[in-house]
Amino acid sequence: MKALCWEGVNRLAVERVPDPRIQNAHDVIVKVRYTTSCGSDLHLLDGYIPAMEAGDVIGHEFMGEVVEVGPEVTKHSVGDRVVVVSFIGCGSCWYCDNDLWSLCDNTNTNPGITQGLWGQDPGGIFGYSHAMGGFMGSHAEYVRVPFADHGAFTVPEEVDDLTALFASDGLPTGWMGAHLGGVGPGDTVAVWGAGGVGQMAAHAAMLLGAEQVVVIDRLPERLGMVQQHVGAETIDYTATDVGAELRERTGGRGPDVCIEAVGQESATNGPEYLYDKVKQQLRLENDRPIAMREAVMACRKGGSVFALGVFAGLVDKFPLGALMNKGLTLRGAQQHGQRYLPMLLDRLARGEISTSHLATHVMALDEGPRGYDMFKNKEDGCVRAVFQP
Amino acid sequence: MSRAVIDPATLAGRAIDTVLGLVGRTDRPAGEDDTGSGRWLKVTVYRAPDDVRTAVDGTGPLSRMRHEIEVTVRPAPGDKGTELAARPTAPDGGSVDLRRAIRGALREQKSVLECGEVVQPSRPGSSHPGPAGQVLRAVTSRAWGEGRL
Ligand SMILES: [Zn+2]
Ligand SMILES: [Zn+2]
Repeated sequence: MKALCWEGVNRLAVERVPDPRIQNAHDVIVKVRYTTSCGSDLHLLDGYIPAMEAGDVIGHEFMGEVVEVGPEVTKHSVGDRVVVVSFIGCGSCWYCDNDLWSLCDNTNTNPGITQGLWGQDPGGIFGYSHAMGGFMGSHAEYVRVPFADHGAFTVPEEVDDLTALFASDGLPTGWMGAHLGGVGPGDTVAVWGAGGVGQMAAHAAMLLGAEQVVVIDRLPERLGMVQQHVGAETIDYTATDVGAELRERTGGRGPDVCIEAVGQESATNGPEYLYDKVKQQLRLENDRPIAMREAVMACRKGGSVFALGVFAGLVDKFPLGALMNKGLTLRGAQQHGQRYLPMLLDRLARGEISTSHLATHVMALDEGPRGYDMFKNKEDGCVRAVFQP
Repeated sequence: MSRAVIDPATLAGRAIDTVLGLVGRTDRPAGEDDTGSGRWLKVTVYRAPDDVRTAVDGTGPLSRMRHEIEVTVRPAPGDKGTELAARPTAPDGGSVDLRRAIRGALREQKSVLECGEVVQPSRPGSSHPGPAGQVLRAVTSRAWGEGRL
């Protein structure tokens, strides 16, 4: 089959690779209809996540049709139209049973690597290096889905393919940030990053009852989307001082909940961008935590900060004093999508949430390398490059 | 956007340094530090103690090394299941390979008890992993027996 493969730092190629097959009794094979690029893939491309082999198929957000079913699969049959959660959960360990699906104990086939990096290993994810399980990704004609009874969800008839696609990762990740960040009725919420995840986090905050939601980014087309499709306020960080702007808009208090949806390659127009970038490239820190620092400083006393963007390792100049003295709660997670998907698919079916506008550039899988270029450089207003195998 | 330019060999070197630097600790001869002799290797299995005991006493992966190890089974606090522990009986703490085999067997036993099977990475892997990928393969091929257990 055809697949989009990682070939080295900043090198992708469409290649012919062997078709996936059922390897475990709980697997299904999905014929991919749509699969999307994601900001976290850029960390693979840029070489910040090692443990990639040339020829690895990338991609972790997808939807499609079940074409083959393992002997122990009970919920799905051939022909089902499904969206698949990007993190793989076994459904039977303590973490899955406690709705902490991305922390699954049984789906990372190389636990030693991340145990060394982080103390414990999270679950596996499609197309995201051998440190995260060694599962081939979804930018391909077919993909093997382990533990499909838990991670693949039948798409309701009312929900079209492109809308369903973002239920794989962007939407549940955003929802989780707002939910586990503790957003409740009357809250003021600030979201750093107006990519797919940031937009979905902002929308989730509104549906969870927030009275004021502010999204911070620099790209006018993304901020425009936030106003049009989410209905939240926006701040262009290149045009103003974000902290001062937030204080002014929140009666001097600061937001109750701050959601960081940017991650390790965060940018700013301030001098610390250069500082962090140099340190990161010299391997003196893994991640540039610029938006995270700003979130911690902006958050109201006693508020909560949620790390939703992807970080891989050590950061520098983290304002721990602010965290402690302001009594903040800091939390983070990779998505526990299995927990939210039934509810989110219902909301999509009722038209409460719009997702398909994120698919600004839909193209054939053969165009994958060009799509990632556009996505990475944010050319032509690209929010997500989506591929049709 | 970042334009990090790292040639693949450097990348591989860094990946492998990271990996070996971290999991390589388990390669030290037993007794050299406190990861070696005498320390129990443990997993918590989200199943009742009786189920775990039955599996361990039967034909589970730990039974293959029964004459070289001791095994304990006890309930975990807070309804988290059952703590399954094993260590070599040899006074020197056993070989690095044995401790590696114990880690692998504990993980396999836990996965089989919880899920009914052990999930496999995608196979076949890449047809052209390159030199960096080959080194990574050497590491991942034994990753099941490494790590902080
Ligand atoms: Zn993603
Ligand atoms: Zn699990």
